[in-house]
Amino acid sequence: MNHPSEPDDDLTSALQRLPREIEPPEHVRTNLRANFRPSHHGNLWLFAVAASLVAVAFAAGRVTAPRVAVAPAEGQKFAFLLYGGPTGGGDERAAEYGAWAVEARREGRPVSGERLADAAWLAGAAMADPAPVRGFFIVRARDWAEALELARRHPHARDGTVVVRPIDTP
Amino acid sequence: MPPTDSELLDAFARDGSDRSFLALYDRHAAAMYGLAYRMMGGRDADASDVLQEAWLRAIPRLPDFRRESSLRTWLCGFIVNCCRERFRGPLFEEIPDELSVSSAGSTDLRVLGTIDLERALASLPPGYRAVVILHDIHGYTHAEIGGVLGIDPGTSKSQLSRGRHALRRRLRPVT
Repeated sequence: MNHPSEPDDDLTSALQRLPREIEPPEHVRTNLRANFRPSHHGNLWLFAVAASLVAVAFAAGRVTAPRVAVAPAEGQKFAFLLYGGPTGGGDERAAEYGAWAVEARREGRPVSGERLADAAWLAGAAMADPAPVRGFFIVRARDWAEALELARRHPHARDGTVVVRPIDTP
Repeated sequence: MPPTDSELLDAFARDGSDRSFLALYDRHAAAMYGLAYRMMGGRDADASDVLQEAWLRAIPRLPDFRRESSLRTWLCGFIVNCCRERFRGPLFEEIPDELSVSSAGSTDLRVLGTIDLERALASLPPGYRAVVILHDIHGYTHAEIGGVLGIDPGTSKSQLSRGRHALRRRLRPVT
């Protein structure tokens, strides 16, 4: 539906006078830079995977962010340990994980997370070759049921395994 | 003379360093954030998330950028996509009866305060807001808007008209 009777010149002029550019908060630049990995064409995706998990978790209320997380009044912290799953996936995969973290924050569950590199060194007593943990998230949920429900929705649960373990300290 | 976008892209392609990346970021982040800020209705936390996510998606694809359009337009496409994913419901829902948000006491937009205009813009439903912002503030054509929002250029045109109409109604002084 058009409204031809209304001249838009003054309105469009007023809109055009608004500045296109707005200076973004410094923490975005700082965070992107802090998580930047020297890259070459072939492995630029590594940056996206690693930084997305970090940065979106940051966006989701991580303590390093100058943001106030929306914490539930009560609750417990859980570790989501990510095993298996695809070895690639690139930035689309990372974006899915990021979207999950953002959604969790919207629901009032603070989330932080990291992707782990493949390298691992053992210290202490020898043990059978464990399955490598690919990454982890720390989530605050009201109880087990809520934590499990959140884990089931995690994109990694689609083709990998998410182990949910309560964190002992409050 | 400052380096061109093409030269900055070449530098990033050569060394993939954080310095090359920051040169690109510093040149385009303010425009990208300006778009994100308004598209997210003036919510700076959401706009920051969008800006960060947009760069994370764009960086791996920088080597694929074909340089047929401007780099800024290409980067802003990531902003629009990230914003769209955050919008709830249909892009162009029915515009509800609106209350005026103007405190100017005048319908003369030449004397209208920027705050009133920003507030009115933020109160528009997301789809209309997006079209008005892209067309009237960022100078996109209807074909470009159609491309980034996944709609027909004709739809962009008609929704711009609706969006402006709703915006104007919101700017009327309360009587």
